[in-house]
Amino acid sequence: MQDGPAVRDSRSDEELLADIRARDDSALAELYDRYGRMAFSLSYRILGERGVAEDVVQEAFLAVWRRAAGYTPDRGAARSWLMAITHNLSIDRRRGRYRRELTDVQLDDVEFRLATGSEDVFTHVSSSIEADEIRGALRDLPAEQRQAIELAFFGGLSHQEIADRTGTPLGTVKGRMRLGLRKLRTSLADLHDTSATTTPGATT
Amino acid sequence: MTPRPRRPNRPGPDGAGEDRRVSGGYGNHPERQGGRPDEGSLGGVPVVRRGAPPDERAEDDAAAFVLGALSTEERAAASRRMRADAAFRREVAELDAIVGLLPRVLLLDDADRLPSVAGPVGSDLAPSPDLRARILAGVAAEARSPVARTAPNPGARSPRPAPSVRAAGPPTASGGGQGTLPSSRAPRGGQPPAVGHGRFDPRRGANRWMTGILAAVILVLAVAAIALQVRNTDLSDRVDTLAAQVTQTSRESEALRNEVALVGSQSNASSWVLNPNTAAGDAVPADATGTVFYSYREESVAAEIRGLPAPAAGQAYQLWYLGVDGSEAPRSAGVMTYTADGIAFFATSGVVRDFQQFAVSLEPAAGSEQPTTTPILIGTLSAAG
Repeated sequence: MQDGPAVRDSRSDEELLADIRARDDSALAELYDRYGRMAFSLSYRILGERGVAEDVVQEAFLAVWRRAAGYTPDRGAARSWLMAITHNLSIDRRRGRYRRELTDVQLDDVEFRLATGSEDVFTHVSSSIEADEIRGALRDLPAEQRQAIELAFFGGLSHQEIADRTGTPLGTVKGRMRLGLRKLRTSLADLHDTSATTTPGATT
Repeated sequence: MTPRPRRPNRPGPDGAGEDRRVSGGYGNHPERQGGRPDEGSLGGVPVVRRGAPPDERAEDDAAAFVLGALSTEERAAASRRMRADAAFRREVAELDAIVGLLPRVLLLDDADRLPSVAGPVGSDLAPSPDLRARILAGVAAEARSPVARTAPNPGARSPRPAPSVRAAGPPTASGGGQGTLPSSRAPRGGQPPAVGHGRFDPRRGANRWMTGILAAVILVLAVAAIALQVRNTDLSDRVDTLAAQVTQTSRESEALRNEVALVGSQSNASSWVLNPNTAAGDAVPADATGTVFYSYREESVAAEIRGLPAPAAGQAYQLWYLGVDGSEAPRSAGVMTYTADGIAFFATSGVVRDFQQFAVSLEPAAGSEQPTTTPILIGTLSAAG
């Protein structure tokens, strides 16, 4: 099991990305040391098989390496980007719809989302939110909203699968996802900066 | 008095009316939600709305989109809309910011951090040590190759929405897996709907018959055990004989196991992992574990639990559906059969819908209307199927 280097690489995530863009593979290695386990955890939870999950993580880091030239830090933290890539690749593997051209479209979507999100006040607050605060906010959700979110995100289930498996109408499942995510946003924003609760641009 | 039926004034019992809870405009704007016009009537004429209005559905799709829960076609539509509709784009980005936080929960050490989804936890979540080297080798191989398969795309630097055009193309047929997944993990949606009925019922009937025999044997043993206790005589040898007879019923127990496996093999069955309920304290062995298979379409439920002690005479384990958010009373699935092998089984047709979890509690042998003891096991949905 790899441990991080004894002397921690002092480069920030953004600097790592810049170095990856300059084809410095030590920066990619450092990115792996920081977030490789988290990426694997996510993929493994979704796919349930270590080997397949490791393939996905490898593919995700390779995607970071290939796409770094077109990605600028203002679009979102390196971690968010890596996790979104990992999540998308994992879901597609799970659904058996892995195709290179589809993947490229999706990763374009991910970057587009992150770019839009970088205008969001909440995005700037989010780096200071702790994992146990996120878990606490999840726990505070109504159970059916929490279930819908967790089954989709960590389980990799489609809304149709969730509806089938829990015997819940499809529209209800989607509604629960949105209500739950909204509520998470509100409660986490309240912990840190109430101004992040509101939509940017809503006042002007 | 008059038997003329009146139409109920509320949505059907299937909870579809819950859809209406999602209302209002984009974003977190309570004032907009509160200001929703009364769409139920128009100039005094009732307007029947079928399905959700377009905007409402689109909002909900934003959440499913960022959670990765849409089908291929829906995802392509959401992708196009994200680029064309500023309000939708903002909604997607705001929800995405939340979703981006979720992976951090995975590295917490608590076993129960994700009670809705059973799955690997803790140190199981470490990748193999050589993954790092494999990634770096892959990058090195790519650097050596003069024609990288996807060279950094200069167009990708422009601030969008240039590449989105590709998203507008016809989506490739969904569900046509290329063998990237082992068959055991094949996507459920890609399989034909289970034809099960003709195939399923006869075996079910046979298994029921076996179940009956086993239940009878168990009953005999229970009666004998009670009788022995009451008389308090020195008949331990007879108890041993009975125990030996019951051991022979392990074949029947196998039949029950087959029945559980049959329900579990339904392509649309979900599996729920039963684990000790921490609230029950020492009342439950820490290694007790089991699985519930639930198929809404086949209307079957089956369960198998190992590691539980034999229930005392006159008692039995009972399986429950737990309602959403504890807001409704548990509903009984039925009483489980405890075999000589020390395994508790359950199988039945007919299911309950819209529940949150399964639970198992110790009850009088005839079963209870409501749990009378703290559930010893709680079942959460296993995403791995």
